[in-house]
Amino acid sequence: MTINIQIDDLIREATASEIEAIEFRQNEAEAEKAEAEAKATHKAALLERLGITEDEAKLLIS
Amino acid sequence: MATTTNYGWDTPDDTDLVKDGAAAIRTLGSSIDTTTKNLNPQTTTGALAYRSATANVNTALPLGTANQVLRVNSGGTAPEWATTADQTPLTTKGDLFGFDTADARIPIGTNGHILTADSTQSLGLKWAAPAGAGLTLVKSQVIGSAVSSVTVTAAFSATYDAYAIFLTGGTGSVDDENITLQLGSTTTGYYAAYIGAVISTAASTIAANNNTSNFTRAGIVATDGSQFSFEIINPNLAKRTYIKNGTYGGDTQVRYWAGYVDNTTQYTAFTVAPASGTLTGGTIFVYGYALS
Repeated sequence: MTINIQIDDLIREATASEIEAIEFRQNEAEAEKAEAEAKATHKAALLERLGITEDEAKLLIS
Repeated sequence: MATTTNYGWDTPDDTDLVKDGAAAIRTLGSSIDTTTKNLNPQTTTGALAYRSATANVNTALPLGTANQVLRVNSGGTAPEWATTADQTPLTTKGDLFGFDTADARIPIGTNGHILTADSTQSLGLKWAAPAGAGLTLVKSQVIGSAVSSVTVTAAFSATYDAYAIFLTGGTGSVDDENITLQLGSTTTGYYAAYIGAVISTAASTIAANNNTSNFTRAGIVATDGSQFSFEIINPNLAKRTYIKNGTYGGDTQVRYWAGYVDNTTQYTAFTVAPASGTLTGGTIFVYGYALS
């Protein structure tokens, strides 16, 4: 698949190093998403064990 | 002897002798000739005739010179050709009609200048460069089709210290994906905090960039409308570059963010790129805040 990048009005095919940078960016984004999902799962599990809702937890620590 | 009704020319009586007919015709012809000449005194091309103080005797008015107009003389007694003082002074494309003590032209100004009142000018007006507006469009960059990143060069300069940057009207190949922001070629030292809320639950969301390779959430790619909006401070000064008032929102959540790049690089360009997918269409607008 062709990957195009734009510099001002010029649109051209990305070079190998630019594709590498794009892939790095995508990997970072995926890792960030995975981390966020893991955090959300962990939080949900913790609330489940405590038997309280998120709002109740916020109330307890406020 | 009988005479004609209008001009009083002599004509033979009914009782005159036929033998006197030749002389009578000659007398009548002479009178007609004299009257006709009196009524048509012009002798040159373009000359006009007007009535003199004497009935049936006109005066010739020779043709005037170029651009003169016919008017009544100062005594109010006769017409005359004259060059009038209130002829248009306009001579050149873009001239405006001005006035001091007489009509005068205001020549067109320089491209981009605006007409400004100035009492020190003889005509009270001048063309001048517009006073520095508070916010000036530095650059607008139309985004092409299905591009993985867009670099905007010559966005920052010494002319401004603070900028407002927007993406409007674009779409993308994916929904609710982040748009990253990179300054120049810097790929380290990005710090930011993102605070928002999930629209459906009002649950708060937070995220941060702690020495990352770009600002990871500068905007949002969406099939129904990609966008970003933020202010950037000091990008072209040898000081830290700060970003504030950043906002973005997708279908599911809205966030506010601020951050900085931990160096003193003087940037002129920035690159925006979706974390995945591509951008299509829309325009990136860069505005500079006037220094004075």
